[in-house]
Amino acid sequence: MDSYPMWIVRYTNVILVCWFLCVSLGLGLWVVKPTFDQYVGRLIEERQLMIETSRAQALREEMNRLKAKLSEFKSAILPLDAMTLANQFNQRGDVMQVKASVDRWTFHVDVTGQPNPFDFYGLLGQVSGLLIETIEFQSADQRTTVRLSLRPEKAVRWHIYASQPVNTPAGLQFGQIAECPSPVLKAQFGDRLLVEMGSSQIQHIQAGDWIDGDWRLLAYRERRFIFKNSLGRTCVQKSL
Amino acid sequence: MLNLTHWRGALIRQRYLWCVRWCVFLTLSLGSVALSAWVMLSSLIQDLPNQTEELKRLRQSNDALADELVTDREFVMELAQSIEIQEQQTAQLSSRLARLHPVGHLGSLRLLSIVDDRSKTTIRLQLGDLSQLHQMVSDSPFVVRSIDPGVHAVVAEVELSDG
Repeated sequence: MDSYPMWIVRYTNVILVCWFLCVSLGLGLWVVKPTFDQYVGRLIEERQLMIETSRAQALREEMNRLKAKLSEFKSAILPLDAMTLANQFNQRGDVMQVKASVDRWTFHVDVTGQPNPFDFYGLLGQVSGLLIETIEFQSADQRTTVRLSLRPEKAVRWHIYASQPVNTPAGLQFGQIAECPSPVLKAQFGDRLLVEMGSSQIQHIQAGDWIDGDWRLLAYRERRFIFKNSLGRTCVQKSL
Repeated sequence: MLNLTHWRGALIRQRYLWCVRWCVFLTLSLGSVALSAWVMLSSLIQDLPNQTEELKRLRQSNDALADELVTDREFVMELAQSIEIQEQQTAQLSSRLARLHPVGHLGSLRLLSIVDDRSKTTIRLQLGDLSQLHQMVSDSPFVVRSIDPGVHAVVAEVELSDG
């Protein structure tokens, strides 16, 4: 009788419930949970695989779009260095001097005889990453030169197609008015004069004719030439 | 007097055996449930192929692609910004050239020099007559720095700045 304690009778229900819970917990943790975790892991993996697959597709589409954009940009925007820019300037004049340092590019270009020296502005309007500090036109001794002082920034680029061109002024003429001409009269045939200009350059002129780019003959009176320049000033020169 | 000791001992033994039987029964029941669940889950797991390696590989390639995309995107943005800067540059140059527009109203003139910097443009020019300067349309402010009445032309130095 004493080999079976009394508490078994008293707590039978409690024992059974506890046993049920312990066995459930034990089997759950030992058998079911690892398998369930493995199954959930596989489901998560599959889900992630789907997400990664769609991500890969989206990335590829984005990559193709970007590649197309880059290809478009790369064909229209080129890296620019001082020598390439000098070559561009050389198409609009004679580059006489190029100085290129890390923080400054200087160009000296002869634009004598160029139809529009202001074309440099249009050219520089196609450049990015280059701070234009000074553009200096000088006209002396029948030569016109441009000195450009530019400050390169991190990346200097040449844009082949400018979206909006720079409107350059036209009709502005460079160059100093020449001195009053001093021709030597060789002969006179009525209104027509045979004159020697400078060193043995003989030409026929009459009133109204341009002697050179600056002066034209107004009249010849009393052995004196009367000239008028393109600015409207007149001069009287005694025939030598 | 009635002796119930023997009866009580038998009752406790019966209850003990009953309890053990139920414990075994519960264990077997729960074991079979656990086994069924395990079999079912194993079957489900077998239906799902192991894609860990593939997932890892795909993730690595995606990450590499994403890094490449970031670089490309930054470059595209840099180029787009470059276009913007170039357009600003064009506008600035147009604005600098626009300072010369009043000079176009002067009539006959000869330009001797132009010094164009970011804030102002200084020009030296030859004019036939000083009164031509009155014809300058004052869209933008200008200052006559010097006048040199020459024999064949008046040389004036004018400073033009943005309005």
